[in-house]
Amino acid sequence: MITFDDVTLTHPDGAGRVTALDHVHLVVPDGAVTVLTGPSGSGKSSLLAVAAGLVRPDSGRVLLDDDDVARLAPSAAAALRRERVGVVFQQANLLPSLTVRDQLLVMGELGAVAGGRGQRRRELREHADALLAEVGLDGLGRRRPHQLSGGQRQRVAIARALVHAPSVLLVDEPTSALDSERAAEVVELLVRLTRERGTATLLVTHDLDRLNSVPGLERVVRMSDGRLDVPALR
Amino acid sequence: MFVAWRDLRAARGRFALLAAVVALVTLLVGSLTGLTAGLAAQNVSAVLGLDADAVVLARPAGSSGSTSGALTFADSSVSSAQQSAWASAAGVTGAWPLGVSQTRATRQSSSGTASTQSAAVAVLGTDPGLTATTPASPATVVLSTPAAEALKARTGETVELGGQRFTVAQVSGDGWYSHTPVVWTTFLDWQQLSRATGGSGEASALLVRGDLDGDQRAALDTRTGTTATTLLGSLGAIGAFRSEVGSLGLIIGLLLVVSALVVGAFFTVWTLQRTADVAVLKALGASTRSLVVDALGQGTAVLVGGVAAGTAGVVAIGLAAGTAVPFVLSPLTALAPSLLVVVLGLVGVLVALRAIVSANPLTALGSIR
Repeated sequence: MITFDDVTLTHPDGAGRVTALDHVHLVVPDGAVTVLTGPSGSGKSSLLAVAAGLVRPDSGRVLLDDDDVARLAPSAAAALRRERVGVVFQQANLLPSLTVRDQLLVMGELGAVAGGRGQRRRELREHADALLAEVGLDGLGRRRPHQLSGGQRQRVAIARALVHAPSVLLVDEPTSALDSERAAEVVELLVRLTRERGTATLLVTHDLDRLNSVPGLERVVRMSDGRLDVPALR
Repeated sequence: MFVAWRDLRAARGRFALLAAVVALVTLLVGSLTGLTAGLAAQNVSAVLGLDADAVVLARPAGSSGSTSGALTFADSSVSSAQQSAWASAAGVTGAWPLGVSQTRATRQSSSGTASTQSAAVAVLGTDPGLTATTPASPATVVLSTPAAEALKARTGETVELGGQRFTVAQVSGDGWYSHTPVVWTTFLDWQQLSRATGGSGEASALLVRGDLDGDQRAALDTRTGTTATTLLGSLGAIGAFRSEVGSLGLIIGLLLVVSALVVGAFFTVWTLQRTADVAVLKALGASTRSLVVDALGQGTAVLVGGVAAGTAGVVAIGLAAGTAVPFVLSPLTALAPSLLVVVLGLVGVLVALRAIVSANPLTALGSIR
């Protein structure tokens, strides 16, 4: 579970400052997808960045279980991401030189370099292959990103975000580059994996209409001008 | 090195190109170093083989103090009074004259027919017993091996120098002076030869043994109008050595700078191209340290690969050159330049690391880019 407690974030804007997040209160529970929607510039991605520890808010707390992400130093925030947070980016952001399987294995290498869990490479490989099968990419482990469709690339990104079994999954506009059918498939996959794994998933999208047909997206939070429009979800 | 190795494999064409450039730079630097060492040896090996704590040269007329910039063996002329002053100085155990001149030598055929062989040689005259190659008796010479080869002369044969005949007492050593093979004579014979060829017969330099401190040496320099220098320092008084080593050293230095710039530029462009990937890795949780180690490992792998190929080329050239060109192939001439290329290349890689350190993981979130 991740909890935003009175989080405010401002950015410099010319001589003054613009408020990106204005006293945000939000709870993202385990085992469910919380959809954060709103127009461009409403503060959705800023909230995601704060949750990932990429930006420090001006005030407030961001609690991941008992740890306040908002107070972590950059190195500690990086350690938190590689151990407990999964991130899915808007454009999948796969590394072009890596095969599909390596996109997942790289997470293990990041952990190993930082003195993480130290799983053996063979175990990691088996785990990665199983996860790829789970997201519908069985047998595609040797392909490179340019050999995949947009939907397949986003599935790889989801598998990469889940390979280290994070407790929180942060998803940034995962369907913006997909057609409606592929978009629905990808979000359905996210909903299923969230339930199965019990992760607290925060999904940012500006295009909720295309996801209306996806079951399991009951928790929808609207945002505008840095404020949440649905306080009932606090 | 997880991402680094995979980058190398995925972009092997680009990295192979860089490794080839590094190999060529190493080949050039190594070849020039070997050639410089070879040319230097052909300039100074005879002087370096002398046994002295100091070499004293006469200052050119008009110069003052202990300035040694214009000192040359060719122009120096040390009088017997100057020699006496040095020999009697406190702390000096001995000061012996050294004559240096260049002339043409001719081997006389044993049958007296027209079968002669001549070559330009450097004649170095010292007192008998002062060096292992000085002949023990007058009217005899010791030929260095290259002089013997140039004259096709052997022990017992007759060699003519400046109209005087000498018997070859021995062929010994690999003495060269200013690119001419050396013929050793006694100092008295050298004086006669000098006078016969229009010289003054005065020594070109003094070989001094003993223990003089800096102040004593400076005072003696001032009083006698000479300049004392170490054996190594006296090499600068061989004009050809100074200009050759200076110009070749400059070329080697420039090549090393070029190699650092090429490697640095490549890795800077390469790193800038993948800044977005670095930002993604940071956003996924990679520490800056692990990314820096990855990039350094990648740079080292490319450099070591290129330098190894270049060094192999240098060794091949050194072996093929044999005695056809003055080329010294040794661990120092082959490995030291290679090591320098690696080190300077890594400096270039380090400069490129700035892009990795400064990559902002926030840019991985598309809408905040």
